[in-house]
Order: sequence, then C-alpha cells, then structure tokens
Amino acid sequence: MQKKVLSTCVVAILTVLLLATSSISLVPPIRAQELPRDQTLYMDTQGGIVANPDLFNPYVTGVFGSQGLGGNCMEYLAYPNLCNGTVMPWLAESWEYTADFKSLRVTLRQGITWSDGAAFDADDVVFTYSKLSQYGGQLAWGSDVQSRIAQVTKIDSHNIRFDLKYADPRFHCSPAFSYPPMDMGLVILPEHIWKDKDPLTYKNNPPIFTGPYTLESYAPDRFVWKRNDNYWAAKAGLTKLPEPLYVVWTAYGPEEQRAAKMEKGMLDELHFPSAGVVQKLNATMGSELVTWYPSWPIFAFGDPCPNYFVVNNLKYPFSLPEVRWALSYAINRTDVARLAFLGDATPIPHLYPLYGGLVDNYLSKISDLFETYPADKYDPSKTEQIFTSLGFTKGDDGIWVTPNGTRLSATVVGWTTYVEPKTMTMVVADYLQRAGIDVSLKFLEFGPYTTAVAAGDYDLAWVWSCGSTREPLATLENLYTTGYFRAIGNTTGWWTDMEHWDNKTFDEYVDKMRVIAPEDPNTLVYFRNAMTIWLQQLPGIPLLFKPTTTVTSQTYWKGWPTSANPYIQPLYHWPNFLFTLLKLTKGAGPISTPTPAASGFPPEWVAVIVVAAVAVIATMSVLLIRERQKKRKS
Amino acid sequence: MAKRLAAYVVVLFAATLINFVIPRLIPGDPIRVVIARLEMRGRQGFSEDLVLQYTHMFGLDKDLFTQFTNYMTQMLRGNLGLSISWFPSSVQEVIGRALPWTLYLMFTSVIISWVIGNVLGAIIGWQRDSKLARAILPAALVLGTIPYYMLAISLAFFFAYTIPLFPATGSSSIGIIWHGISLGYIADLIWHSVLPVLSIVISSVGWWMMSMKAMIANVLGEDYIMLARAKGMKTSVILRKYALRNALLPQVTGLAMTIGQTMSGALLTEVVFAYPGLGWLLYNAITNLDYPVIQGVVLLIIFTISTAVLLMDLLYPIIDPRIRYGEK
Repeated sequence: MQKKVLSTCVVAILTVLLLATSSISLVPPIRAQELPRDQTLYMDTQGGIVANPDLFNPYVTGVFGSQGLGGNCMEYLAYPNLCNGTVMPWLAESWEYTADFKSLRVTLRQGITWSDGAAFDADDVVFTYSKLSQYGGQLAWGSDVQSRIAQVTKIDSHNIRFDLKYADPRFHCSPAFSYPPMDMGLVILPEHIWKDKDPLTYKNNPPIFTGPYTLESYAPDRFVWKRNDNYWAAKAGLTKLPEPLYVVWTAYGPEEQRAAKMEKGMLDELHFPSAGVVQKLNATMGSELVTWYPSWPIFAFGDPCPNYFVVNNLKYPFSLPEVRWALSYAINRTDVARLAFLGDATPIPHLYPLYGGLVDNYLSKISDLFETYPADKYDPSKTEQIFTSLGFTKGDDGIWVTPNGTRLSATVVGWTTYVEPKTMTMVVADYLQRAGIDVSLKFLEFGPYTTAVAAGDYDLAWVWSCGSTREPLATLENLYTTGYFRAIGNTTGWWTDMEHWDNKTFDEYVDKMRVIAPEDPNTLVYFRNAMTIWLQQLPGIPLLFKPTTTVTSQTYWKGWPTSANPYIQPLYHWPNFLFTLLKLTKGAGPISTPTPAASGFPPEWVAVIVVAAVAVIATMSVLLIRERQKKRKS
Repeated sequence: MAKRLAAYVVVLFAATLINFVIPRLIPGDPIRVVIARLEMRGRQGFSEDLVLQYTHMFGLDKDLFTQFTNYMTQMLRGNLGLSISWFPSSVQEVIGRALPWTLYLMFTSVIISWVIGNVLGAIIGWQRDSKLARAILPAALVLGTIPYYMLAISLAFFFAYTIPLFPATGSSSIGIIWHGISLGYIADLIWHSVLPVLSIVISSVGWWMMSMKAMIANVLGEDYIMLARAKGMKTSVILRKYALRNALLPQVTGLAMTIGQTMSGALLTEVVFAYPGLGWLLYNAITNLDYPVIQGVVLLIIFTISTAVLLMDLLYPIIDPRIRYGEK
C-alpha cells in the first residue's frame, strides 16, 4: 500500500512539473522591465527604508537626502571641490563681485534645459529667490537668503544681480547661494512647474531639474533613475553622457547585508561601513574593491566634519578654561583613533579638516600656535598638575574634589545610532575616568540627543563640526557667540555656539574676516588672533580628523575618484556625485558567473513549486481517504 | 453585548488619552530636532523666531488640553495630522504605505506559526514519550531561544548568499521594475517574504507549541477523555474532537491578542530584511520625536487589539457552547 501511495505521488509530481513547465511558455512575460546589470549602477542609501519616498521637494524638512535627488537629478550654480580647494562653476558660467563685495553678478551658461525640455534661465533664478525670501525660515535656506540678500534682479535672460545686505566676499560659497556645502544646497527651481505651487506642501513628484537623470520609479527601499539622453551638458559639449543607463539607490538593510551584497556584486558603493567590514571586503574582493588610499589603515577620504567634544562652558568647573585644558590633556587621541577607526583617523588640535587648501594656506601658517597650545596632546601628568594648581584634591576613590567640596563628575552625552561615535565617546569617557573624573555616559537617540546638546543638557557631548573646507571662516562662524550665546535650557542652534561660550573679542576678529576676501593678507592675521583666543579658552575639546568611509567596487563600474585620481571628493551622498557619474566607465565585469541584482531562481519557479506541493498534498489526501474507506467497509 | 461595547469605547478613549501623553514624556523637543536637521544640511542662522514658526506650524504652541481636543476632533474626522519628521507627508500617508507590508508579513507569520505550533504541540502533548516528541521539543526550544537578530542574519546568510535560494532583502526585486499588479509581481512579493516570514515562524513556533502541549496535558486527565478511550474511540478522533477542541480556547485568545499586536510590526525583521513595515516606521518616529506618527501607529495597535479582544469575547460562545453570557 505504501509503495502504491509513493509511486502515485511520484507520478503526480512529475505530471504536474511537466504541465507547469510547458505552461510557463504560455504565460505572458511577467518581468515587465529588468534592469541590465552592466548598465545599472547600484548605490547605497545607508539610511534604511524611506517612509515618504514620494517626496522630492528639497526645501521641506521631511525630504530624504540620499535617494539620488542631489547627485543624479538636481544641479547647482557651483560646486565645492574639496580635493583641490576650488569652487567649480556649473550652471553658472562665472560670477563677479563689485569692489565693495556688496553686489554679485552671475552669468548663467547658455543652453541649459530642464529635464522636460523647457529652458533654464534667469527667470528661474529670480523666482526661486523670491520664494525663499517670501517664506524665510519655513523653507530650508530661506533664513540664509533673508539674512544675506537684499534683492535679486534679472539683468537679462542669462545674467542676474544679487544685491547683498552687507559686504560678503564669500557669498558664492554660502548656503544662500546655489552651492551645496554638504548633502544638499539651495537649488534653482523651474518657475514653470512651481509658480502655482505652495512650496511648503508641494511634493514635486516627479522631480524636474536639470540633471542627467530622471526618476523612473521608486519604493520605500529603492529609487530608480534613468539617464536623460537629452541632458543639456552633453548637448552643449560640456561633458559626455554618463555611461550608466540606470542609477538605483537602494536600502539593503544592516551593514552585514550591504557588505554581503557588495561582495556578491549586487552593490557598487557601500556607504559608511565600519573599518572591520572594509578589512574583510579588502580580503575577499581584492583589487575589485576601491578605497581612497590603497594602503592600510589609512584608506579612506577624510571627513569634512572633524569630531570633537563640546564642553558646557556655563557649568562649573567646566566653565574654567584650565579645567577644559585638563580634560584635553587626559585624552589619548591616538587610542581613540585605534579603537574607533582601526587607526584610520588623525588627532588634531583644532576643528578643521586636513585638506590641502586649509593646511597649506592657513593651518601651517599658525603651526606655532599649536606648539604653544597643544590641544591634541595626551599628558595625564598635566591634567593632575592643573587640577592641583586649582586647589582640587583627590579623594580616596581617586576622584577629584573641587575646592567647594563637590566631586568632579561629568555627564558625557553621545549619539547611539552609529558605531564609531559610540566607540569614541566610550573611549574618551574611559580616559576621563582614569584621570579622576566620575563619568556617567548617556547615549541618546537622534531626537533626545540633538535636543540635549542644543539645550546645554550635558557636561561634555560628542559632536561633529561641519564648517570650513577651503578657508577658515565657516568654522569660526560656528563658534561665533554674539547673538547665539544662550543660557542653559535655552536652545542654541546646531553648529552655532553649542558650547554656550561667550567671547566678544573672538567675535570681533570673525566680524573683520567676514568682510574681506579670503586672499586678503589680513585674513591670516584675524585667523591667527581668533585661533589664539580659541586655543587659550578651549571651549570645545578637539579630537579627530576622521575618515568618511565610502568604498566602491570596480567590477561593473570603474573610474571612481581615488588619491591617485582625485578629481572630486568621494562623498557620493553629496551633490558632487554628479562629477563621479560623468566619469564612470564600464568595468570588466565579474570574473565568475555574473550575479544578477535579482538573485536566486526566477519567481516563476515559486509558482511551479507551490502547484507541485498542492498537487502532492491533494493526491496523498485522496489516497489516504480512499484507504480508510476501504478499511471501514472491510 | 451593550456592556461589552461600552467597555470597548471606554478602553479606546482611555488608551487614546494615554497614547497622546506618553510620547510627550520622551526627553527632547521635536521642533529643535527638525531645526537641527535643517542646520546639519548646511543651513545657518538659528533663531527663536524660527522655532516659534515651526512650533505653530505643527500646533505645538497650544496648551496640552487644546492640543488633545484638536487631536481628538481631527481623529474622529479621520485626520491624524501631519508628520513632523516627514513633513509635509501626512500621518495617514506614511502609515498607509507601511501598513500593507506589516499586515501581510505579520498575519502570514502569525497564522503559520500558530497552526504549526498548535499541531506540533498537540502531537507532542498527546505522545509525550514518543520519538517525535523527543526530537521536536528540544529543537523548538533551542530555536526559540536564539536571539532573533542572529537567527535572521543566519537565515539570510545560508539561504540568500551561501545557497542563493531566496532574496536577502527587500519586498520585491530591485533589479526589476513591475508595471502594475500581475501574477509575476505577486510571486515576486511572496518569494521576497519567505525569509522574513520563516524567521518569525521559527522564533515563535516554539511558544505556541509549548503552550498547546501544556493545554493538552491538562485536558488528558479529564473524565470525558477517559470515557472516550473506554468506549474504544480511535486515538486520532479523541485528540481531534475532544482534546484539541477543549485545549484550543486559550490558544485562540492568544491568537487574537497576537494578531492585535501585529500592527506594531516586527522591527528587527524589517531592519534585517529591509522590509518596509510599521515597526521601522514606529522606531524612526520615536527616535525623531514625531508625535503625530507615534500616536497614529499606537492608535492603530490599540484599535486592533481592542477590536480583536472584543471579537473574541463575542465569538467565545460559538467556539465553546459551554460559555453563555448572561446565563445563570
């Protein structure tokens, strides 16, 4: 009986498989459009699933910045090149200041078109600025426009005049210009699309901009962009069309999944992997893996935003510059770099990234200051010396006690989301504890973390400093105190006097720097003076110039920027990604059998298996029922 | 019936009130978070005026009582408000996008693990000393105690990368653009859900199995079981018609509660497999202090659990004829 059941089942399965296989040819094509792997570039959003993937309005707070809108689709009047310290004109052909730096004339390139074919001209620029001026802080960069610009006037179809509220020789590099300092910037809007729209609520779907790609499709875990073969820059002879036909920005989940995808050839760029993952990929992918430097452990491009610790300058005893210096001497930054980045980070005595322009023209010119005020030096004996000189005594438990009898304790606030910041915070806390400070660590999610730091609800807090990349003013403006200094409990802005530090003399030097050109010799004088005050006071403790670890694969696409070919910074979530897109060419492809992006066996076979399983179960059930009926009769 | 309905309404109201208050107890200010995020994008020029503008935009400048009454009024009209962190998207939009994925993933997983767990639990509870019981029980216990993240990553490692049978992430194939709903698209969705569903089933089947085993063990000693055996009824019939039916009632209650909780999604599943559900949405809303979205998702959970419990209450007399409400 069992043999009969078994043989019947086998016959049933084979019959079903035969029928299913032959019927597949009769089923209409179920793959509507497969993206060819050798024409598709897969990028990593790293940010996870997007709750509102249909939002492409760059001016509202809820837009997701890493879906390719900035690098594939939008373009700007000018771009920063962090590798050579220049400002690259793009939609703008040139610009010229008046002698007093109170007015700027911008000339647009000829022949620029929006992706729908309409012409891009001065009317669009004037329209955009009028909207931003009207809405102010409700839109991103609106406050910057209101605070810096008096008027924007069309001269002719390709020339615009910006009248500024004060002499501003750096206006063309400011957030009020169409110049993306970071992952997004003030972008010119098409007047013919936006003129009747409320910029606060308009979703801008599909997005129409001047970039080389248009939106093909989207979902919470992917954004598919297709090349616009009518791209104005290619038609104008400025560049060739980018080679990838499709660019897909994907959310592949946690780091383990994304790294595995990269290894299998399903991802061409991996955003912010930890150093250990890069080490593993280096071992398995070999020369297919592209890092900025070919060496180890320093393999990654330096992050434009050095990490440091803000100190609450309003809370005793951290209000004393001597105490802040004591804390600084207590930290072994080399160890922090080793533990958090496997050595790929450089201790720095300031808050500036070590980019060529900054180092050669400014930081090297004040190197003597860093000798006098070594804010990157580890010397616990100095810590002890300073505390003793202030009248602190050490308790039996090894914790310092201040002259008024309180134990020296510190709440150190960190951000819990990413591994490296957490590690840095823990290592710093450990060194402070060893130096005799009773540390309590407080790791917070993004919302509570930003609120705590902005409100001064911390003694020390890990932060990052995004400011200067070419010349020193922007970082100094982050430290500027006049108008931003707040008592504890009242909020400071992010990167505006987070330390609750108040120093009018420092501010005066910054004010003087603002109104003179970067190449003015007095810039260096004011910079030296400002830095002298900052170093003497040390309102924040500098830490590391750390890597921004993006790695890429040249299996399918090559031509990524590297230290040997530094044509643009390898920050692919930033709008400068456009210039990488324009340089990429097809790679040699995988050495072994290509792994398609949609891995595994075709989904048609799922239908086959399901049908077969149902058939087997049905056949067995029928046979068993018949068996029972027979037994009952007998 | 009227009493139960009245209790249902009271529970919903009380839970909605608590749901309104609790997010506001999380340390932090959502408006400061929004402004900090804008500033991190290269915007400069923080001002208190800006804080006031955004606070007014999201209705947070009013006192708590006014905020609550506005919230309730709008909610009864079906308007859950605007998301703070995903502005200008509405709460309905962001929840509506995530909800179908959660419903599919969690319902499928819960039903499958419930059925398998109860069947296996009944078998091993009935045949405690059999080889089958001795094989299944330890395996289920071990699988149930493996930390979920490890289990999920291991499944992805083995069945998506080592032996590439199923996709490791996503709700559908990224390398394919589907135009509209089709058999192929549905097959693609099912194929992509295999590993997430399997991970949830493996991690939860042990619990159903153990609880059913305990129920069966309780029922085994009952007089009606002894009578059925004495009458010479087949073991399979006794198990199916008497033991299982009596042991199932608490499991049905458990199923109702679990189905209600499915609205909270499965955060770790959605993180590991990049599945766009409510768990990830709720987590992000909490970390960004997005009060309207937190309230919206939790309201959905409250509503689903309360409704599930009410339905169970009403269905009990049908499932178990011994239960008759109002009878003495």
